[in-house]
Amino acid sequence: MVSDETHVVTDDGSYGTKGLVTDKLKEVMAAGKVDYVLAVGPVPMMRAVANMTGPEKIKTIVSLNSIMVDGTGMCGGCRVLVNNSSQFACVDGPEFDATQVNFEVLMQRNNMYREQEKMSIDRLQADPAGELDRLRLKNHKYECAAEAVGVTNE
Amino acid sequence: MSDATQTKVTHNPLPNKERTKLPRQRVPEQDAEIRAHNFCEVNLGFPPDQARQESLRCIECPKPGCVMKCPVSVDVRAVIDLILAEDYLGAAAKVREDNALPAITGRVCPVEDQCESGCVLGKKGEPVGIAYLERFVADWERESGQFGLPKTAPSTGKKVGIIGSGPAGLACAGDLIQMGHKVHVFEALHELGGVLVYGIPEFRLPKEIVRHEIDVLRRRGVEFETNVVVGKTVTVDELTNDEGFDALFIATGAGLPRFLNIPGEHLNGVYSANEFLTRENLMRAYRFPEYDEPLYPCKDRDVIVVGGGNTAMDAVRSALRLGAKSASIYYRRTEIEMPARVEEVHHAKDEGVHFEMLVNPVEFLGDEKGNLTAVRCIRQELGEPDDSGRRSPVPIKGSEFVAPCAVAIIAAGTSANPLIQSTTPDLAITKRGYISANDDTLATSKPGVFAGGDIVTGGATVILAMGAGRKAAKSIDDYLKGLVQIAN
Repeated sequence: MVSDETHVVTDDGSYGTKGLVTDKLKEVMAAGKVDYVLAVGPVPMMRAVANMTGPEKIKTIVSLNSIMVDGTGMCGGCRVLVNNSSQFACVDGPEFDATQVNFEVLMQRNNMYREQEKMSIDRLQADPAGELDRLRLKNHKYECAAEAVGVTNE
Repeated sequence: MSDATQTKVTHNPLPNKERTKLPRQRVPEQDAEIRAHNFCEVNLGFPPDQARQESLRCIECPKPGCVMKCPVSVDVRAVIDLILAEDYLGAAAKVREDNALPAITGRVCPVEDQCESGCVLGKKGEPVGIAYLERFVADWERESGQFGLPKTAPSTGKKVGIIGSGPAGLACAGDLIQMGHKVHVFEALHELGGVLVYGIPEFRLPKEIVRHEIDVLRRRGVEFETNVVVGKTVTVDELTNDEGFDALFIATGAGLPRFLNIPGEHLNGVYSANEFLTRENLMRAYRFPEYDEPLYPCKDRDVIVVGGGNTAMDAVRSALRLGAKSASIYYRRTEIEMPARVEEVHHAKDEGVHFEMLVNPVEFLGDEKGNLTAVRCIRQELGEPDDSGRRSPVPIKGSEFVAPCAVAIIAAGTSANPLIQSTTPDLAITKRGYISANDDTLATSKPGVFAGGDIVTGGATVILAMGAGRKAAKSIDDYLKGLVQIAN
């Protein structure tokens, strides 16, 4: 435990108090001076925190969860608009000054694969064991080696 | 005249005059209309009789231009003679003495600028199909289940770490293991091969072949370790100080993709070619939903690719195979200036890729959901030559137009990846952020640390990276011998 005070809030009250992070943050800010806020979590939460602390000039850092592929700088898929310029969350971040982050673009980009993500989750939930078996099999099968002979036309 | 290059080769029964009359063998290909809809390999390779027929054309020059033009100096004539002797396994071993990845280079080398440009037959007619022959012996070896392995020197007890398992790293590993050193290769991703697996598509270089070449290296004694991001999960200094590596070779490859820095680049549907190809190749998105990796849908939609290099060709031909309604190359110069291999451009055209020359995107346009709907471009004309010697495009006033597209892929090159440089304080870098290495030895500012390939030169080709890997192996060997001398 590195903090003097710890407050836990949950959406459904199953742990700590029921409510939003911003409700608790409001209380803490009202009770005394806050020097630094670090927000890590869902984008709407980080944006809501930034909207509260920004006007009060409280230094606020957010850790961005943009869509990444390799995480080593190679693909640029995790690019986020920070201070109106393109930054790669994997090599330039993932922590950024919350007041500089364009959350709208981040949310829009995070929604890019919503449909496909739903398909994949539905498929896994419908048959979890079968899906795992298929994955294991695939790791040992080289796709075109089997197809090249007959030259299949899908 | 006892020079090795003058040795009379005996397996070709034809006099030189007859050899030059033989036509170049055409390599069988998948039909363009069929292959435009599948991810199977385009070139099917020579059968043995065709390989021997093509080999008969070599006139065995005393000073072979093909060898001189090869960045890794494969002894082409010796290989061809072994093919004529029907000793294909021996031919494979011969290639492997100089080239750790023959099945790969036989597929992706820009041979028209290298070995085949040095072939004397090319002056009057067509050069010997050297790449197809190299590919043939490597494929024959793989399919036979046997290995044509070159001899290895006795163990030196020295341990070399190689950072990156792309072409530079693998070529370096192949030479160092042959010199008797212990070799350990680190790879950041979960699969080995670097650009060979994330960048080059299945239809040009099947992943099975990359895995086989890596298996050959493993069989020769090279150790591989995946999921290690040197510069993040472990530093260069930790490798040399704590993990006992006597020397390191940094071969981390082409880095951050460049974007165009125009409005709308954050719209959904705008990709770097690296991301598009990584999703497709490494993560198998072309087999979604069988594989979970998604790709923004290309099927029945207009796809444009901005750029004129091999990466652009790989991306546009992939889009076509994913079912794009139209797949177009947008390039700011003309076809003559395009850096892509001629064969790739031909293949793309045959498959139905549309080429839009002398255009430059100025803005990506989207709908209210942030999805890409169109690109605004301006037409250009060629002006004065720039630093690269190519004529610079100049925008034509009032020539703007809007083209509908749902997916735009930017293949405009890369800039340096900073991961290792930023965590290795005494490693000198260039103005552009690449690692500084001596041209001749590839030594960096840190003793015992060498660097080569795209992380030194910026984006280049597989074979040039392999050439750097070989050069580094030679320097590392000299360096390690020096260490032994100092110790004695």
